[in-house]
Amino acid sequence: MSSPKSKIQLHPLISSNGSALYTPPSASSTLLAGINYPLEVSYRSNEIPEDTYIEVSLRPNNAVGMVKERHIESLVKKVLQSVILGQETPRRMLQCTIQITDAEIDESLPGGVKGGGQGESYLETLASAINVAVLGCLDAGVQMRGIAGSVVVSISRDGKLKTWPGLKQRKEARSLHVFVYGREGQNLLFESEGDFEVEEWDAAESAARTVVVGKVQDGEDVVMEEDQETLFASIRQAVEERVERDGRQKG
Amino acid sequence: MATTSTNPSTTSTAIPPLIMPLISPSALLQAHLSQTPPTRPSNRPPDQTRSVTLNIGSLTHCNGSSIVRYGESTIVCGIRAELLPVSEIPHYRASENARTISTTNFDTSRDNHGDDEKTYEAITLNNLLVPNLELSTNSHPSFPANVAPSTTAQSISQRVLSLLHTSRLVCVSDLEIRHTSTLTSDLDPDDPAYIEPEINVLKAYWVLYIDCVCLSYGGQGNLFDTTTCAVVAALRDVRLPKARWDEDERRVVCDAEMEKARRLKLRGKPTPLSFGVFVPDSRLNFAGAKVNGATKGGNSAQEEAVVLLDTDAFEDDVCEETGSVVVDLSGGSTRVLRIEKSGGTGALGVQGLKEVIVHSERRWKEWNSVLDAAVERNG
Repeated sequence: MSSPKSKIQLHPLISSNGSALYTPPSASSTLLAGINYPLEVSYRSNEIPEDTYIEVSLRPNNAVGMVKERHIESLVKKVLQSVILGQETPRRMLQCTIQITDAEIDESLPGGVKGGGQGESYLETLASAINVAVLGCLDAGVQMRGIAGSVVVSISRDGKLKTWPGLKQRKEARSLHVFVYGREGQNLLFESEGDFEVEEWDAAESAARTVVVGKVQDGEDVVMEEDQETLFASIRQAVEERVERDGRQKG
Repeated sequence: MATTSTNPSTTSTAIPPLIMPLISPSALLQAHLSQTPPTRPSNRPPDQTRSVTLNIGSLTHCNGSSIVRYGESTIVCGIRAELLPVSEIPHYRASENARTISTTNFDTSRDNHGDDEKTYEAITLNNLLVPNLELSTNSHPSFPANVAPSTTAQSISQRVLSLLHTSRLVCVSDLEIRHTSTLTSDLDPDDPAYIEPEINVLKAYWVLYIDCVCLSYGGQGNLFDTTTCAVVAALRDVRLPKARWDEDERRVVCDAEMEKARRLKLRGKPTPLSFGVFVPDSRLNFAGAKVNGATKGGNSAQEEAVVLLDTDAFEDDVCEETGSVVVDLSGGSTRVLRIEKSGGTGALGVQGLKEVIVHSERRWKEWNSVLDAAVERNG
């Protein structure tokens, strides 16, 4: 695929245990995640005897977090619960703070309104937030079952699929979909809105799978090739670079 | 108390069935589901949904209201309409809204994406629909009193708002209050540059405040279903008074006669169905666990996963993987308006979700016959 890749930078923050900077291929926003782990649980009532308590807070670029952000946080938390081995650090907390540092501004809106209102779709932010949170956990050395990767797919009025649509394409789309895949390609999260048929959704799922996990051959096995520009390959490359950089600093 | 302590039944080690769900909820649910045929603790097969009770128009101080009881959840929904004059909207662009076309021949089918398509943005931009869910402390012991709205309440409010916007249920033309004014033109009527002196100007919007109060809480999935149904039913009941712009007073005047009030034209009939995916605990290995909702290339845990439709509060706590679908069959074919699924280990794949959508068609028919009957009863 010749489409642009996700931009990933690991460990941009010095003082947190782990951090990541992520820009999706649509380049419509940049998110920064800071992970601190393991911490004391701040409220005793939140302590889980045999699991790690996960706290996610999401801050938009131009306002304070409101109802929409609370919902995104709860979904990111559920994905992290799926990938993190929480029982390794029981009674502890994983703190994940995500800051949107840069967002595409909708020029068609009247002056002063920068978008991002309560009514605007949260799917693009959700997909990027999941990716940056997982990358941050990788950087912090959180014990995980495997990684997870997320992608947005839009279906336009004429039925065209587009992965990581830009702001204009998202506004004109008939439906928007987010898919999150686990290490073995299992569907960790579905989130779709709009107006669509089951067949369209199925096609969007295959397109999303190709972008995140890789090409599916014989309907069963996932082929991991070095030259495939999947999200998982990008994550792998980012981690390799981070390890190399660390090695140079030590040596 | 002395008599009970000597009672042999309390001193024995037998566990009363009532506290079984507290001790080992997962094992209890698995034991129920490994029966033939698989039965849930509520005596339902995994794919059976519960019935619904609906009453509309019960609240007299609202423009529209509904009371929905779905399983263990009860929601009271009241909709109040308030006026938003365009003069109070910051950065309002008058030029875009000065149009002279009429919207009388409006088609309420879902496939109509005509002129209203472009103007729908007015609803999201000006927040003309404001749904809110309140989980009061008397609906469930786990909700404390006098605290900020919980994440559950905020999440469901957001999901309902998203659904209203992306399904574009309410039409902008219903919420607009327009006025046709006559312009004074300096040009001579015979001049070719002379234009029609009448101009249709938007003066105000109706804002619908959709407030839902939970009287009884029966799990998150069930609550989303109940709230969505209550909001849709209340919107069907909404009557907006006849409003016009008074040129002399320079404000909107509403007609007191309710006979002149009009109802909203809703696009389609969205119907939700929530589900949970139960994956048996690997530590408890019962023989003969039912294979259902298995995904391609799945491991043993995925093959044992059972999809439970319309989960109750107990099942909701046991199932880590939950979700919901919203469908609409009003156009003849099945249109999906929303899919949500998260949590757990991803035992439910594409195939499993398609099966849920097939089941949701049955739920659509059930709910809409109840809704239509209630609307007819109410006149």
